[in-house]
Amino acid sequence: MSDSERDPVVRRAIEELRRLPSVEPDAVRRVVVAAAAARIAPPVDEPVVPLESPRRVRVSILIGVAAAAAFVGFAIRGVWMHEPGRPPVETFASTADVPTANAAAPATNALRAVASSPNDALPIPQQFVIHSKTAHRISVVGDFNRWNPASAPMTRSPNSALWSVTIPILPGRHMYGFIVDDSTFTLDPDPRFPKARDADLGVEGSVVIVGQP
Amino acid sequence: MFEPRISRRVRANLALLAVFATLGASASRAGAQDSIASLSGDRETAAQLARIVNAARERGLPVEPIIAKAQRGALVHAAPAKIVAAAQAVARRLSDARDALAPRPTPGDIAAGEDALSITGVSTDALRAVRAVSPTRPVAVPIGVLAQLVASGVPAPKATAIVTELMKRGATNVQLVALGTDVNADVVAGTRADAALGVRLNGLTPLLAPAAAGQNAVTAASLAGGKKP
Repeated sequence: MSDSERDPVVRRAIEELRRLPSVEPDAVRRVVVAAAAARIAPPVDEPVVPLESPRRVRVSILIGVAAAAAFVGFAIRGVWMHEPGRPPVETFASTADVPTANAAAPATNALRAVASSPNDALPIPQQFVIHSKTAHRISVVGDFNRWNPASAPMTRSPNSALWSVTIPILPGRHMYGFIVDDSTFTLDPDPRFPKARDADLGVEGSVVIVGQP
Repeated sequence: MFEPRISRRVRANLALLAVFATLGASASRAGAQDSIASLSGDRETAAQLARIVNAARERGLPVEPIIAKAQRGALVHAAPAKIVAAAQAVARRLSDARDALAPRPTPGDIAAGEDALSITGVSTDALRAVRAVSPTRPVAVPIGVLAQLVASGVPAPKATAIVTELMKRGATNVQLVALGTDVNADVVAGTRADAALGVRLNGLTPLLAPAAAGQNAVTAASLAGGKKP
């Protein structure tokens, strides 16, 4: 048996293919699912590091009302608020509005332009990374997401202490930081990212300058 | 390390803000009022912030930087009066930046200009100098690099002269960002900003188009005295 055939993923795929009926239309999907499951499942002899402690989801009436207000607001905005005399750039794009799932995508229509201008006015995917062995939750906050801890939660890489998130950010200089376990604000320890003081509030932040490739 | 504890109540407000946030930027005045109101339990503060945001919107200014500043103030538990003062300062700088970056600045340009003007030494003259070099393209990146160079310790006139000269010679945004990042890394490592800039420029300028006739090559030496834009 070759090395590759010893690989559990390959073995699983081979077994699936051996059982493959010639006219089974769903076979390919089953093979892919089996292979993916073998890749994702952690080895049983390794400790499983929980990425996050279980979240307590509490839905209050207030939040429900807030969500409804947001929905109605958008609906009204879409129907009523278009003002022909105003350019579309009046609504300054918030990166918080852009689905994070699209972050790694190239600058296509998935990323909202803020002006009818060349590509250097489009958001650019920017990855944030921080190392923490003990944190249960980390999110990146900055002027690109209104310092909202719920906007960009980071995910811990399996079998490492690296947390990361990639979000689209408009080109330019941005201040940011990390919220650890919903309670601690910390600057980026990576020395490549400078620190700067917010003159208005008298607090420090890390700085990233995002530029169009 | 700055480590504010985020209270349960603030967290609840922030959760609400996540919903209201998207509403505030694009919705009606009432929506903006709600967005701001969620920032603070202080009704008077909320009303003051809403007035600042609405006034800025009526003037055609991007309001996102104002809301972001107020939100940051709430995050770090700044006093309500300080948050209001910060929001007012942002609104003033947004207006100044838009004027300096006329005739057609993007919201990103205006926000970048506002941020630069918040750094001691950066003036509207610097923004005008950058705009003069690039009248039609967005300039958020060059302005951001300029701002960071000044924040790193490079005198503002010198930073302005260098950034604008590099733009004239066709430096890309990536090259400008790399320059700012490298200079900052050198400064963090203990090098004086001027010296770091000189070394980094010597590495960058050979990659760019030659200086126009009558112009000296951009080096730290040629810009040693700096010049007002």
